[in-house]
Amino acid sequence: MASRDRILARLKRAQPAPSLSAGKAGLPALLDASIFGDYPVAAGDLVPLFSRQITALNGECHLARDAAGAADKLEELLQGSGEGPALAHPSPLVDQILARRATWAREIHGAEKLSMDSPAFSRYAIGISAADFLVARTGSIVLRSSTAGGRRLSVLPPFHIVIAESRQVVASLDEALLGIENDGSWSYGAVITGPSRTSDIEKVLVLGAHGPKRLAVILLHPE
Amino acid sequence: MSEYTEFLTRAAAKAQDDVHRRQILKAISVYEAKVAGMKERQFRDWREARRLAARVKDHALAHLPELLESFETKIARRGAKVLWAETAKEAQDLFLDIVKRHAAKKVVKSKSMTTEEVELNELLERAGVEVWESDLGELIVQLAGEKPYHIVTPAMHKSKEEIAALFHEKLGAPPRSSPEELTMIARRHLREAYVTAEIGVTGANFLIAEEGAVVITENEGNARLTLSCPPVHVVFAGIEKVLPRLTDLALFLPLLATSGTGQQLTCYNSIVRGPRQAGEADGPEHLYIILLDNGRSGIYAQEAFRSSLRCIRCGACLNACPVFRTIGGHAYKTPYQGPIGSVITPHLRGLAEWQHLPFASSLCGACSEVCPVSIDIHHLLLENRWAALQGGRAAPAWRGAMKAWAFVMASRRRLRWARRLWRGLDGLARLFLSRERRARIPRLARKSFAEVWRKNGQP
Repeated sequence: MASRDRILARLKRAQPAPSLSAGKAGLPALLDASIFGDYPVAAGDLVPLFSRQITALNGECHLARDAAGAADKLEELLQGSGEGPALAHPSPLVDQILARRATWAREIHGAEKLSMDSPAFSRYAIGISAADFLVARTGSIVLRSSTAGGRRLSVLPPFHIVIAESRQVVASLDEALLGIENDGSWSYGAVITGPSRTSDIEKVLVLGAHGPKRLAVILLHPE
Repeated sequence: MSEYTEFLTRAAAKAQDDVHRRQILKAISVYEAKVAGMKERQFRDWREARRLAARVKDHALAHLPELLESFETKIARRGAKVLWAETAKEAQDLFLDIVKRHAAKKVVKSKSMTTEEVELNELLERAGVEVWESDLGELIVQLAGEKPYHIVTPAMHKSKEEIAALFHEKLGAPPRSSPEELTMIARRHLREAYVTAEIGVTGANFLIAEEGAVVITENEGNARLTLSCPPVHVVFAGIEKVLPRLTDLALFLPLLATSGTGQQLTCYNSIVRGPRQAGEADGPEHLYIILLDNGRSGIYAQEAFRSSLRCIRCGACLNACPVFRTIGGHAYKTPYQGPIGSVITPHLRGLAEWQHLPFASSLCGACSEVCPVSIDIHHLLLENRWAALQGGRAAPAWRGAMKAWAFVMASRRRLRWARRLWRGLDGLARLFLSRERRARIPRLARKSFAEVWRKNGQP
């Protein structure tokens, strides 16, 4: 405690002006459209823009018109990826899709059953989760521990599949952040922009450094 | 040898190393092309974006103690423990306490320059605790027994052939593996570390005061695994890392990614608001945040230098600096290299030993030009030079020479005499010098400009 008080006392002594009790006075507004390039985006363009952006980052965006279409896409992805069992975090949207195939109920485990049992977790090849927001400008997925089954489900398996709806797509990052700030008791949130990557060796881009090598979004988009 | 003479030796050796220079220029030219393209694409007005970022950071610094208290209160409410360290030594002791409390034998780390400042790896090796760097670049320099070369790209100086040889020797990888293969080897190699380590250590790119959150930015996913798998998560953060609001990230994350690597956003930006909460599937049971002062409050107290605390450690000033490009990151022998390192290191470690760093600059201003938070870096380098002289810490010969220079230059007559004296002594001195040294000392012209002017008249 002594160090804490000494550090704070030193800072307070050196503080430039008498400290303003209203913390936000003089703080510039950030939702200033003028600094970003392709901002604002028309509402109708959000889904195509998101799809373009995530694809450019080597991620995938699969549009589905309804739950049946989404289940077909999921089946394609599960079959196409081949090896390893899948793990899903239950949420109304994910459950609705999974319920469309009787066999999935047995094959795809729920994340809540696993808890901290790490070694068992490592054998899953695919993690399936919901998300909070999709950001069109940057092609990002914003999720939290509460929406995505904790922390590991979306990062430990080599393939992460996100199931989301087009009404979750927002134009820019600040809207997504506004949506999650001071909301609920989650301990972890992530802004995910493309599959894991590194350029640490001679600036050569390699996908799948430590996180998922493959990232796909199944986006329910009733047109 | 003093830090200064060692610095000169290392710098001279690297400046003449053609292989090193080619390697660095290759990496920086890739970086520059990406950054230029992304600035254009992402920002309508880059200058306005950095002005805005500077204003937000200045506001955060003006309210620094209150924002730190707010951060502490908010995150502690969710079960995190916030610890304060005045010095690197105190941060080490705090960490060793945590190691003891949780009987830890293995620590997995993601990239953090603050832990470099604290020399955490050396500490843990002495204490007999296994420590694994999980960022690919950091793993490479750890295996090579080196320090990070650059705050963002720690293994920038290593060719893929060198890294392949290193992985072959240390990890039993097949010889001559490609960057893809090397990355996959590191991936497999570290998987076990994440699930067996008792403690995961990360740095912090930002601390969010209003939200009580730690923000960690990365591309590989190693930081996410480090803060997800082990039962204890320890964050090392400098006290200057504070931003007021979560939404400030909407500006700072694109700014950092653009300046750091030329990306629109880095792949993963993690927001940690606490240890595992009731009802959550996983996450560490314990979260400790070590807030490090280590000289920062001293910088804060000097108005001239306060703006250096805006720094978000993007590395852009290193890449832009002609001195860094020539002498390389290891010559500085500090965790923070390049121009911003030469601004803050003398304050973090003491001006007496590190005053030579601000002199290792051409003052060209490229650093200030690229800084995403508008720090006037090259003027702060001048301020440091001034502080070094004010403190009477400059070498006596330098001070004497500068005084003599001022005395001579103040009078036309004295300059004329000095010229004659120099020419006389110069001829004499050259008789005793080796050919090489002779060539390095420029000769004064036979006639001064004034003499030529008088003789030839106006052209």
